[in-house]
Amino acid sequence: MPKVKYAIVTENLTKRYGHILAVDNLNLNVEHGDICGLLGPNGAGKTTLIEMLIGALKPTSGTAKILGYDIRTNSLKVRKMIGFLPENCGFYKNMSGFRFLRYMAELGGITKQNALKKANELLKKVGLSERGDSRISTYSGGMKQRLAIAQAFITDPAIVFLDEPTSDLDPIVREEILEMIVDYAKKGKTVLIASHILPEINKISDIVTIIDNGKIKKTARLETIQGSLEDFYKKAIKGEVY
Amino acid sequence: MGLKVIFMRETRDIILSKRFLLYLTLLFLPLIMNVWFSWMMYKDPSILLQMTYFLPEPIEIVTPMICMMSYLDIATFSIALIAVLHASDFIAGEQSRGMLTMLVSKPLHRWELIVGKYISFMVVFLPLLTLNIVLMTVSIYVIGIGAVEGVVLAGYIFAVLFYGIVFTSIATLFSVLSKRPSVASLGTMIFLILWMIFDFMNVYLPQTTADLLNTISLSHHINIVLGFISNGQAGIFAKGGILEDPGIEIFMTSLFAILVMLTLIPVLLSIIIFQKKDIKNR
Repeated sequence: MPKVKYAIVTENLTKRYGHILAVDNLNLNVEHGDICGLLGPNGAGKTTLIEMLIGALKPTSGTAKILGYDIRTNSLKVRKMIGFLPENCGFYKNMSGFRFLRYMAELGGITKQNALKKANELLKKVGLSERGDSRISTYSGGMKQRLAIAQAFITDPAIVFLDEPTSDLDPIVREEILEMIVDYAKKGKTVLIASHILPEINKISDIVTIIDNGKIKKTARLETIQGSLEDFYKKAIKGEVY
Repeated sequence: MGLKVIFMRETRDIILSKRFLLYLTLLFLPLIMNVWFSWMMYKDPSILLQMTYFLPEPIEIVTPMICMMSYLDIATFSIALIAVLHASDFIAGEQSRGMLTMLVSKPLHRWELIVGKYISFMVVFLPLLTLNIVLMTVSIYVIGIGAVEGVVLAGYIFAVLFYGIVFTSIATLFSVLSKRPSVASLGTMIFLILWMIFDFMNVYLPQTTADLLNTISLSHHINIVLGFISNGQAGIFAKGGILEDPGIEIFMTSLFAILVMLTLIPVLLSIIIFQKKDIKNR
């Protein structure tokens, strides 16, 4: 892994769909080991930004680097180092949770033997070890979300992108998942988390970036924010000076 | 690595899925029906005579060739249906399940996703098609109609295999172009029906136009391949039945058309389009 100051760097990153500018000359820097909360209203460009960084969308212009690797020219290397949880994650419903995790691990480049081990570990971590052999179609919404989170961490990636990770989760499981994310960051890993839930971001993030209409409205380390994150968010969206 | 993982999962998934039973039904039900019908014609040759009264020379005797020709025409529909149902799901299915963004975020080339799925389907589908033709041959021998010559059997096996790979390749292309497997299936079916209509209409066109359009006619190329492999003993009804042996040059042109123009190019196009495509989660 190359030694670079920032884990995630974007320079004038832009994504345009016809007349719509989903991400507009976005410049973002996320340091190693930080949990970066990406906040913004619906349609702000959070998901588009993440989908560009993971290689699903091609940027219209601008560049982005993940751990020093350009997402366009070194896409494969980038994808070896990342984990990703999409919003509304899909599944193969006839697969068991265990097989699904094993498959995701093997696709992530892990050997069969390690994939078995990691799948068991992660199932235990997200509280699904007893239902690991059941078909995913029999899982509740919360169980599916936990499984989706587990697959994002299965390859022990250096950076993980989480798009609304705690939606559909009950408060207790939500708490456990947030702890899992914090523990993960403590190992020196970087997390970019897009969420609508301000208290959660407030609880776990080191840095918040507020994005609207595809542009960064404000970025601040959490400890530098005076007053509540909610006030900070509202003022940033309205364009008021904080 | 990614290719192998996808191949293994897909192959297992096809064989263990409920869809596989549907594929077997679609493939073997027409076989059973055709064997039964061949037996009926064998017992009562007047049935065949009544069915072919419109031909300049109505057919009076049931031969192994007649049975094979009529079976291939029926089997073509089953092959098309199975290929379309399955290959339409390759990419459009992943997209509609909400799996595609997750898959493309994994460290694998996008082509591995298409090729892995394509090969796994071929590994299951093509032996089934071969078995189907072999069973038909055995059945008409057991009924007492007669034995199918080795070269004729080989010709029909190649014909079904080529139908299989061509229909799958076209459905793969539609799968990449669509967001839902149902749309991809419908698109492919409409395309195949139009292609078939054009194939039938071709007979009524002036010879020069027909020759030109024959370059993309699948049944024309299949007929040539059949004619060459079977030394002019086998053909398909859709193109007027048995041909003379067309010779190596025409055979090679048809083989090129089937394997490159109608198989490789749709798959390559699928890969190129998928490589450049923006993947949005559902």
